[in-house]
Amino acid sequence: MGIGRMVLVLTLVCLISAISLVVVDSITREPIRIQEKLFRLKAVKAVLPGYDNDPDEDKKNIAGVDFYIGKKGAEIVGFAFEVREKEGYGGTISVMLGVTPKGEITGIEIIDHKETPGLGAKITEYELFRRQFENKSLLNSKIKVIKDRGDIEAITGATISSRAVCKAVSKGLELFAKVKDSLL
Amino acid sequence: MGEIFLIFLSAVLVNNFVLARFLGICPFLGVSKKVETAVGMGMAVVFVMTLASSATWLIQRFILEPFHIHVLQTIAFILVIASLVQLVETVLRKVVPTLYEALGIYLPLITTNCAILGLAILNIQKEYNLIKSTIFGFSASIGFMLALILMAGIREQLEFAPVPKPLKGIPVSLITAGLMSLAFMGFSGLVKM
Amino acid sequence: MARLSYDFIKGIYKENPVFRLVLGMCPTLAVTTSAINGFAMGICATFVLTCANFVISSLRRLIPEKVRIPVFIVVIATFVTIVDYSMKAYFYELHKVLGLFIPLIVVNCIILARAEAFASKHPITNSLADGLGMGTGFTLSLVVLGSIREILGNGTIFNVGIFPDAYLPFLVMILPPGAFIALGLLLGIMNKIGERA
Repeated sequence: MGIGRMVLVLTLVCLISAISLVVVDSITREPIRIQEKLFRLKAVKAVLPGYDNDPDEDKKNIAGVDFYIGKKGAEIVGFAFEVREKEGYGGTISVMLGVTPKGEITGIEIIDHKETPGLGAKITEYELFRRQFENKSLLNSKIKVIKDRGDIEAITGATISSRAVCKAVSKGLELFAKVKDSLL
Repeated sequence: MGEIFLIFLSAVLVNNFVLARFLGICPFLGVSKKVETAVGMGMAVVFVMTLASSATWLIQRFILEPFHIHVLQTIAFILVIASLVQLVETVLRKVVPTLYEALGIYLPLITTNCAILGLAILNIQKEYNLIKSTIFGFSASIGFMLALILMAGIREQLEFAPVPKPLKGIPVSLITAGLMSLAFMGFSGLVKM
Repeated sequence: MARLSYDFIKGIYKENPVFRLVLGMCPTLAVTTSAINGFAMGICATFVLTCANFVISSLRRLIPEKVRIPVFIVVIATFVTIVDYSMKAYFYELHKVLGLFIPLIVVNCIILARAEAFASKHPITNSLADGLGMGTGFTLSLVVLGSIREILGNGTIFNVGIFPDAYLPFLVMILPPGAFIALGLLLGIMNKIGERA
């Protein structure tokens, strides 16, 4: 059994595998893109108040962030955008944040997280935790957990995760305040 | 500097690869019968894992990303790890025969240690740069070695304990690992990340 | 024919990969926080196992002895990537949950072990039966462990509540320590049953 044959077999196997994977990639690319989009839009729908346009068509990209704009008739009712916070317990937490043009929160959804099931992952399960953020803004409240002298009650056993969500939300509000003028 | 220290603490104690992330369980159960072998395996893993985290980072950055072939990530990483193990084995045998004699038999087992592939993928997910990736790899492997050696120490003692027969061997080791994992959860307040 | 059904059946109990051979511990412990996650992981692994067994068994006379392990790994990694991308395209939310552990099917020792110990030495049909059987055994074990942890740790099974509201979940069961302890006890029970048989 010569070394030539070994190299030939290995090369062939790798070649066939690479070709089939590139095919798989091209087949699944479109469905994956659509899934990701649907997933985002579901979160947008959950955080924005009554709108009757397609926020996906009315979106603006500012500073690398997609702002989905919700309109009722010609009037803008709110914006939804994604904010990421690296310091969750298990890793990055991504939050979809909905705000009115005045900067008041209309709702938040957790779209991605790596928190421990049963502990940190409760941020996605406890609706009451997320409801607390509604109607809050940088002007009327401190988006921090109570332990850090803020207005948000953390979930028992998920303080670090709750804290990370607060951090993401207040970062989002600050970003919104900065880019607000170019959005409206 | 502070962040690097945090990565280290977090990977060794808080998010220990074996006890919190369940990576590398097979070698953890397989070679933890004696402290001596555990030390050997642990060192081999530290060696390969640190190298592998830099190597896979470079592959991702300079080959997979520029050519847009992320689809080949898994295949590329596992082949890099397998070749790296082979390379380390050959180099060690030629250059430091004494070290090779100590680690030699553990090296081939490392290719199928999921901790290494897991680490490579985590590095990419966490968007670490080359230095942080390498530090993370080193810390994670130190955490692995720590868990392995602790386990081996306990199992040496367990040999003499009156364990019920059906629980002997793997079952009691798993339960012990559970208790260790419980203890390690106590570190979770140590680092906030 | 009898031989074929034996190759299938043995994976479920007699040579159950998790409870008897104690292989593939990492995904077993990591994804069994709920029954449905265990089931999904089991199905993915079964698919890879069966396909890899099929390809390796059909190539078994062509692969030179010395490079067989690299070839096996490439074949397995190819199927794993196919599963990874298809899951993402068609079961997006489940893919998010199983996350890191899908690519790690590559280093699941059950698959390499079956390729090396069975598929590379047996005809195609038997290897298919072996792959399906081992996969089913693996899936069953994950569902059992996942159900136990979900019932005790969360008070539900397949996301359906089964306890009255007053039940306080035994949270540690879905945390990492619970995984180790539940699997350890389950293995002990299996040993006890096996001892009698």
